[in-house]
Amino acid sequence: MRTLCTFLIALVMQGAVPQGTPASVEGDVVLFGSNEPIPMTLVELRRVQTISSVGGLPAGLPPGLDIPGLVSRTPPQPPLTTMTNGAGHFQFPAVPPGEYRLYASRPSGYTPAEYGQRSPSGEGISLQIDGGRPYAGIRLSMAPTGAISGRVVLASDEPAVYARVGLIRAAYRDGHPIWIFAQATTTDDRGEYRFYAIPPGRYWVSAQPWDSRSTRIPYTSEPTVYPNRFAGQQSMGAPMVIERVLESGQMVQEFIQRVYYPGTSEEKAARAIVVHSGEQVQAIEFSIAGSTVPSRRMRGTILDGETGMPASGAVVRLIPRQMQGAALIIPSTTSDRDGTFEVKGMTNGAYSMLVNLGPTGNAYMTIDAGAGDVEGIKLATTKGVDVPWHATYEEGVVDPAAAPLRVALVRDPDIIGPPPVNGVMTAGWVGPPQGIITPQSQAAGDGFVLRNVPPGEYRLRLSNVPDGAYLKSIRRGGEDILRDGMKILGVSTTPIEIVFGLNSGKVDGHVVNKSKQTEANVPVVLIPAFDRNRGDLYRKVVTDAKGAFRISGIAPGQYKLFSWEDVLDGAWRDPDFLRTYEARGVSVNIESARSATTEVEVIPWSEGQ
Amino acid sequence: MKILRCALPFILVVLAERAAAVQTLAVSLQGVVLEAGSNNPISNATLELISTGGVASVRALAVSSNDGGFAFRGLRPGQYSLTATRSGYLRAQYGQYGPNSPASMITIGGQGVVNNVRLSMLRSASISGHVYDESGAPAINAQLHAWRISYKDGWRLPIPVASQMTNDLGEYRLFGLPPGEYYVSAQVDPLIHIRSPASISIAPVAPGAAILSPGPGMFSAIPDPVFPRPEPRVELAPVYFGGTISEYAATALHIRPGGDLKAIEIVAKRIPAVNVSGVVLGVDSKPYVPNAGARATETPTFISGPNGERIQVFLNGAAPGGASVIVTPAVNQVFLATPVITVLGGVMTIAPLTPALTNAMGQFRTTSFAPGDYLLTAIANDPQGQRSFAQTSVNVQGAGASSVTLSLEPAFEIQGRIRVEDFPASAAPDLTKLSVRAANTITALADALPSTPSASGVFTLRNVTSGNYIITVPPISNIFSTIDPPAPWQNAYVKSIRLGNIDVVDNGMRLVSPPSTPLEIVIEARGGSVRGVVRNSSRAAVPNATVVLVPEEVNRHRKDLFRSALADASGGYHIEGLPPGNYKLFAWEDVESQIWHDPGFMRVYEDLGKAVAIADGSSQTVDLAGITPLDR
Repeated sequence: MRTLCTFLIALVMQGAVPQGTPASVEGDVVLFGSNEPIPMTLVELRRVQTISSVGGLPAGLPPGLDIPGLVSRTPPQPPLTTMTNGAGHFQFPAVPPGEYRLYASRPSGYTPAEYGQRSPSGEGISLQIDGGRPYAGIRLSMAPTGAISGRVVLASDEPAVYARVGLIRAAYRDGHPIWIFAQATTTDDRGEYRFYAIPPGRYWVSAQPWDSRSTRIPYTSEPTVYPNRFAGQQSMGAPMVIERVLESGQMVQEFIQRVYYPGTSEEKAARAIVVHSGEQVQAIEFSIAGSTVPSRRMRGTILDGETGMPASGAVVRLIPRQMQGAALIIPSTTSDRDGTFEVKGMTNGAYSMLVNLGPTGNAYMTIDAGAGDVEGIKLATTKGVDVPWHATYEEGVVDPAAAPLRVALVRDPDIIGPPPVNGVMTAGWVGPPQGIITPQSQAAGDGFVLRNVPPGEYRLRLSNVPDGAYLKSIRRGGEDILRDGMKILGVSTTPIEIVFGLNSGKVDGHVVNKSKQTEANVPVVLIPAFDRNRGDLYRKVVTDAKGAFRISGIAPGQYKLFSWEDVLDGAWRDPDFLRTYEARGVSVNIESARSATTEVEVIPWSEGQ
Repeated sequence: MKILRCALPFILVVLAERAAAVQTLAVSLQGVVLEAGSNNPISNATLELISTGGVASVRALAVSSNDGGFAFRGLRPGQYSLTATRSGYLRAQYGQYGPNSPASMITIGGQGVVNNVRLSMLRSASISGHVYDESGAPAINAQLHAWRISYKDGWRLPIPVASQMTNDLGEYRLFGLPPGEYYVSAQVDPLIHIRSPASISIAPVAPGAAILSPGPGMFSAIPDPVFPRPEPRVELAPVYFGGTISEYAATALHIRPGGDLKAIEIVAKRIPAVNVSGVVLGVDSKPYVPNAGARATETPTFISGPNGERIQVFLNGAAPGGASVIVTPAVNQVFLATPVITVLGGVMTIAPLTPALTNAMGQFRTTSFAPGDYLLTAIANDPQGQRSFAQTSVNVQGAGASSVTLSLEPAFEIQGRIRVEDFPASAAPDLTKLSVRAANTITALADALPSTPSASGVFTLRNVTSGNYIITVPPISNIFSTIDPPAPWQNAYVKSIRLGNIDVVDNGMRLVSPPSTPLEIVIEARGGSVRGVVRNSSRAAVPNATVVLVPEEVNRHRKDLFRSALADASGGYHIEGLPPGNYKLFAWEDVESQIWHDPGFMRVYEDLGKAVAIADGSSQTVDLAGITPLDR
């Protein structure tokens, strides 16, 4: 059984604490790219904690608290710790068998190292300790961290005090390149800021003036000096709109937007800052003069679709349809007693307008704000729609009862989808409607219903897909949902037709480096040769300790295989990224119920630097 | 316009004219922004005008030009507040002399122009330096606070005005500070990190006030999902500039407006913070168990116990109705020990060290504080209104104290009587309109229940414990209240409070056991009074000046003898109900509330006071010169 998407994560609880003979684990901590030992470094062996969850994790529960039927975790165990000696050597004499992750860290100055990582900020792998066998010669490489410092000024060339400065790095979401904040700070009274403990990489710096009228204190809170190799998130907030009186007495509404180094509000014009290991990048100075632009607004009326009367208290939100910057600005408001509303702080660009009036009243439309105010919008709420779906299996037979396929909907674009696990993106979150399997229709084998789906645009997430099955098509009436997504507009109850093929192909192979040595713990990505809009056709696996990999359940067709030593997850769905590497892919023809074999040469981390 | 519901794909909505954004109105407002003291014009200040009241509130922004001038046009008649902000200066509101003085409203009439609106801004100050560890290496991400000593009900309360962290070079810079006296503390490896610019330059911070963060978003901590931060280490005691962990021994830094105090270097010794744990025993000598009938203050969660049983838990560990254990420094047994700052749900709260609550086994564990001499007080108020208490002194060092036992004793009652003197025979006051209160100096949890005297003045204070109490008789003026009392008490004062042969007014009421004699309170009808006008150096009246009557130095421990009043729009003030004695009068244009209780502060201004002798029934006129923030 496998899952076609990572959206619904099924976490399986591990058994009891393994018993057995302890093993010794030893090795050295060195400077990345050299053999120079790093003494006095904390080395930790952390047992992998597993969580099983039914119905979602409640917030705020202390670790180790078990609520039957809700959450179960293996009890957290204190890590085994030791320090490296003067020669950078460490040893754990007796480690109980189990699955561990091995880290090396210093309070400051170095990126933490992890067993199995391929680059200074790459992710490692777990270490399976079997009883008795010693583990020697482990090498953990730490790269010195860098810093970016500079100054933010106003149009008058005076320091921008309390300006909110963000350190941004690239990431991918649903195959689209996005930016995330890796760190945030504020300028001091000289306009100066400094980011430190930065792992090597490419960064952008943004700044936004402090709203002087705000009664909120722009305090920041940072976790540790430990460099965050992977942490980061997009932020979500309301637009900062100010009203200003011109000399003429005219009142104008203005929107304060982020400015990126070297002084542009356009993400495309922002200049990347490359920080090498241990590099101190100084004098990143820029002006936030261009941060204030005219604000647009939208006015209209919301009607309660049930009564036909003006709807008071309806929440109106405008979700940007395109998002490249690290900050998601959601203009929003609540309708007045007479159903009228005014949303401030729109910029030019396209929005999805979501209206929510209690659990059963929703409305949806898309808007291109163009270059001015939007007036006279009238929108009536509707009840959700029940959307039936059924799945058919070609090229064979499966027992639907043994493999209960699950279907869930996520909004498209998935901007206000579920909050990220480590993020705080909860503002205005509307959970996606979940696919509900009705027991009665389950007996019939093919009749399932997604209940009470509010109007909107969606994509389907399928899980519990039978082994070996691949998606042939998902259609609803004339819509090709796999390629174009699904639009729920009115009362139509046209069913969703999901078609699987069972004669999928597979590919076996191994990854080698230039010297034809096999490469363990590197990602291997299968990319469709032609139909690159089909996110479901992309597959990623990681090579095992012998450099081997296997991908199964592949829809027959032409593909390319790539392997990068270090790559941002999902980058391969970005045409701009892939263009550079296109020629490095290994073409592979996947045939029905056949197995292909191939060898892929890894693209080294150093090449992307 | 037709209904666009579910219209897809994109609809390019036709744009309307921006007519609604333009409002042409009649009145304008003009003024100038100047630097306090020098009167130099301040350019590029942002001015914000906000109309008050009414549904259609207006917020307008303007920027001052090179000559400091600014103008707002097209305003509706009404009341407005006007605020100026600029980097390097403290936020200033119209009518203010500094960050502590009250602002005034600007009234715009039906037509014409309001001219000559003048805002004066004070330069903000900064403190910068390095934090090093004991080896001389820079201390990274050490938490710095700039503390001011504030006063609440006459008692000392340190408040963090600005908070910053050191960077990877060990550098810190605390900025945007109002002038005044500061202490700087540094804590290495803090549990939470806060960067907060000088809050007082934005809005005054009251003890217990919550400061809202920008909410969830980019300023929240972002944990690394793959490499979890190392386990929390031992919390260390903050080290103050001056090389001490005692806030009472720290070196004070006096900064003038615009001061830039550099090289304030701190060596952060690693002295672990301590905490105290132990058990509270009830009057039956068994662990104090909360009463099952007590009301829970939070929603319980049910979890499964080891044998599958349901257990009710409160996630913060506190059982309903538990006893409170309060830690106070032994040298200053008043309300508060070092305040702590917590960040919960994105809200930064500055609050006193919170009492530790006992759990279902009667056990408690305090939060961390610096090693030293402390007094532990346990108070239990059961649902029937019965109070019990315990006190013990502890010297906490090293690993803290882990087996402290506090044995509760029942609270007691004090009988008393109020007598009045010198009220006209024709207008004998109604004593039942008075209230007798006994406030515990350590915790309000140990305050006596307020008592209303009988017509003959007899009263009983219930739920009194060992410890120090301040007796007040509202509505007669006292240290907690400067509101003008109603007739016939407007000129009355508490002449004496005696417990047997102990003068409670002079020495305070310090109880170790139930007193055997009643509390005798005497109210004198004919207090002294003083009035006058506050003027500045140009002989102009100073509205809103804070006039403070301070007792002569030998009586400064008598907090009941301090009085304050705010000058009216013409600079006039009037204080009555004064006990006889020698005093000094001060008139500050801008002063932090109650800071005159601080001996260090008073030393700075002592020579600017005007001596005055008050006698029963005396009435004097004393005009005063306003003291500005630039005078010292």
